[in-house]
Amino acid sequence: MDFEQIKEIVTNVIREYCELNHIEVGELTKDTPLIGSARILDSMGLVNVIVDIETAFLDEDIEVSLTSDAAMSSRISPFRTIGALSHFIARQIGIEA
Amino acid sequence: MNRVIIITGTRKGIGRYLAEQYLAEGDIVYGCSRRNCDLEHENYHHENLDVADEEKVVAFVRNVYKEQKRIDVLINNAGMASMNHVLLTPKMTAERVMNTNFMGSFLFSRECAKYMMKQRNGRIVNYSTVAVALNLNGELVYSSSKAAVEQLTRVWPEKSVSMASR
Repeated sequence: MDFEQIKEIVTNVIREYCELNHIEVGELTKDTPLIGSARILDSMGLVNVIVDIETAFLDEDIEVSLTSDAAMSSRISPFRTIGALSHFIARQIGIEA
Repeated sequence: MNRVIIITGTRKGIGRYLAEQYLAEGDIVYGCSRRNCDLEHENYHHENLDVADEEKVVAFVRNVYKEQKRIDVLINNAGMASMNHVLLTPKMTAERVMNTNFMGSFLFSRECAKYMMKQRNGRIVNYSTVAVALNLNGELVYSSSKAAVEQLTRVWPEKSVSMASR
């Protein structure tokens, strides 16, 4: 698995969640914000998406933990954008240093 | 369809009887205990673990989901008591009781709820004790840990999964 595949899984999960919950979003890119004033999800939506992303990777036999101490205590949140979250996952599974 | 049920503390007592009952009804049961369990059944899966060991709990629940692709019910049965007078209760005992009763319920609930949310279905059952309601003397640490479990049940976000305290 490479970074693009990771980003694709993350993006697909978010798109599915938005469609299921009738949340209108434009094109999802690596810069789409997940937290902050321009975020596309509310706090419960972010929780749901985090859980769905974890299980989506588990379905691919890849174990990631987005509720780890590292994720929650990072000075710069890994949840700020789709790209940042994808990089965080890539580092966790050893694709990026 | 047979339910996939996780029961903690299946080596003896209520957990053991519940496991045997659900197995007899055709359900698939995943159980755990710190010490070895001699329950054998084609639909029973067991692992020795401490319910307060986060790494082990995460791996255990993940494995259930990987094998079954769903988790229908979690029964947070594992528990321990300490009936010492508070002035004679060692810190280590208080920690063990809190870890098993509260932390075990917290960790298993958190991990199972992830998969239950994904499948939009699931139930979690927690245990309390009359010692909370009756403020029984001599059971301070035990009842405090169960009071924490009651609060966990009350404050648990409704939107994730259905949780009940028994």
